[in-house]
Amino acid sequence: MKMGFVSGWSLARTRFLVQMVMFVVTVYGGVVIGPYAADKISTALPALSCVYDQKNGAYCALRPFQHQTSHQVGATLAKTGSVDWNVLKPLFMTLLAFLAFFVVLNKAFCGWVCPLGATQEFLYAIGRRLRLVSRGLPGGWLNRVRAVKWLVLLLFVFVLPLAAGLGWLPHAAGEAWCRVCPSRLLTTLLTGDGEQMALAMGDAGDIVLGVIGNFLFGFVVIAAFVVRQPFCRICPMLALQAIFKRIAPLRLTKNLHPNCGRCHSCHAACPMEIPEVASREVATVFHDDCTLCGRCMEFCPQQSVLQLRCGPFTLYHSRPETFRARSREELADGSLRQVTLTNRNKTTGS
Amino acid sequence: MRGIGLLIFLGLFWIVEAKASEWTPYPLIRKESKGRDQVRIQVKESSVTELAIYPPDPSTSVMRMPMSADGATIKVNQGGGNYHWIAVQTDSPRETFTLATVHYFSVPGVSPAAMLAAPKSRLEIIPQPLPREFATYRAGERWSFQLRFDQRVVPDQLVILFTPGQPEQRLFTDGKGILKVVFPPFGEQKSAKKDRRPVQPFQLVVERVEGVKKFTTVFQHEYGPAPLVGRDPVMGWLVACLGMGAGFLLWRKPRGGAV
Repeated sequence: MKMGFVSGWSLARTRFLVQMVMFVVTVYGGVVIGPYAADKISTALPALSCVYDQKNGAYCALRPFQHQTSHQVGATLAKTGSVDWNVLKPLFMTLLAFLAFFVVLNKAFCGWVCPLGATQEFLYAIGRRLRLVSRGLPGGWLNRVRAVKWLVLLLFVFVLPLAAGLGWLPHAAGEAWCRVCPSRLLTTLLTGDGEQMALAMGDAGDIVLGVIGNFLFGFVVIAAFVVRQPFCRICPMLALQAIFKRIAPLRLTKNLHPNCGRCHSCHAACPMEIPEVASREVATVFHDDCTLCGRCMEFCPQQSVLQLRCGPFTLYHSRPETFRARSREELADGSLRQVTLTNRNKTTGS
Repeated sequence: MRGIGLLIFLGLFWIVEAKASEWTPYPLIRKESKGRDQVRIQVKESSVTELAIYPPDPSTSVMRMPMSADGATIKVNQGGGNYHWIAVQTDSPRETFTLATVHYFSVPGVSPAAMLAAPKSRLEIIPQPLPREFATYRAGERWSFQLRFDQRVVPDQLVILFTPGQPEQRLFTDGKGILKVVFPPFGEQKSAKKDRRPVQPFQLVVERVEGVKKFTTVFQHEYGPAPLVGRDPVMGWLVACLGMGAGFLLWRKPRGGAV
């Protein structure tokens, strides 16, 4: 069944508009909808909308995950040596709330909602206009970098907070992820709050995690001018969403075409540099790293080969006219098309 | 001689202790959190026998709990959390005294907006807004409170801010009954618990005479140290700049032109 109601629009422009709106909601939304309403839609948002940003419209699920792992599970284990259902219940409830949000949009939260993801895209677009060099991951590095997000999720969101709750690590490790997350610094700075940027000088945990966080933030905002989505590749939210990506109805699908695996236009368009999208293997096209941004569909020259589907409905699909229109605007990797101006009279005269 | 020295020491200690609790002439609410869904409330220097708890959902009836010598323990159910308004009141034909505070139960619950808007006593000091979850009032920050009498705003009214270790502040509401409070420097830096932010109480007090009756309302809550206490902005920016420097290394054109 094809709905195609998105097809009449430029997907890139629609996404840009949604990103702008969601950027305002996730960074300044509390000012619009009120602080109490903002609190109510919080705690399970599958995007990096920071809890430290007091003006945001909702905050991301990683904070309650760490908090409950540290203060509920870890602290109870330290006291009693065991945990029961009542201790695990808040963690489970957060997971359920996360899933409720997530089933609606699947990994599109990364490509359409996340303020840090949007910022990195904007910075890369600026980099293209400044004609800066564009860097991809060196060959062989892709799989190594892909593994990092799982390590970060396990270590910073669950293991370190649990160890802090057990009393084995300083208190700061109880929210280890938040302490190193660049979105914490970005969104608070964008609301005029410089407190988070100031390094916490408490114990060793404060200093170590603070140094990692500030360094990472500085690196990401500058690297994003020349590297596409540098932070998204190691983001634990991407990993967390990848765990559940198979149960959500929104997904990227592929109808194999004889040219698949030859032009690699979709791969070049992918901001996460996912080679599987161009392969002839249909099952792996919706990869763990996919953010459902839709660029691969726009830059696929074949009719309906790549499709964004919600259950039985096709919301968007690749088509030659879209490919031609988008290719006139920019190259698949986001670079501006080079236009050479020549003096026609001079050419004719000579 | 030792005995006299000990007596002098104990006397001095008693004076210091007495002074420490004398930062306000009004009764004090003591809150002791017993987990995410429980809090024990005690009222110091008062003979109140009943506690009124206003849940965030005004359609839920007001809970009234007897106060024993040990205070009263409030427990909320799953879904019944968020901010609750807690008040004690003494009433006589000549005077009504209300002491109120709020407590955030860290379990899901509805927004406190309706609870704050609903009347809870005749003379009220209402936070506009309350700090969000994970936030608190802090020294040096400006926060607003609205003064209402019988649900009408009270302009140009004197309100006194009491805080430990600081002189009282005499403040006035503006034409819309809004009181702007800038919290004074924080005194004690030590936290009651190792992993908790240090906080100390404050009280906003208003007195108003209507006819022959005097109304006194105290709103008590707590505030923490100024945002940058224990933080180093210079070091923070310096480390971020190092990260930026590392990021700039990627701006170089690669050898051979391949990217």
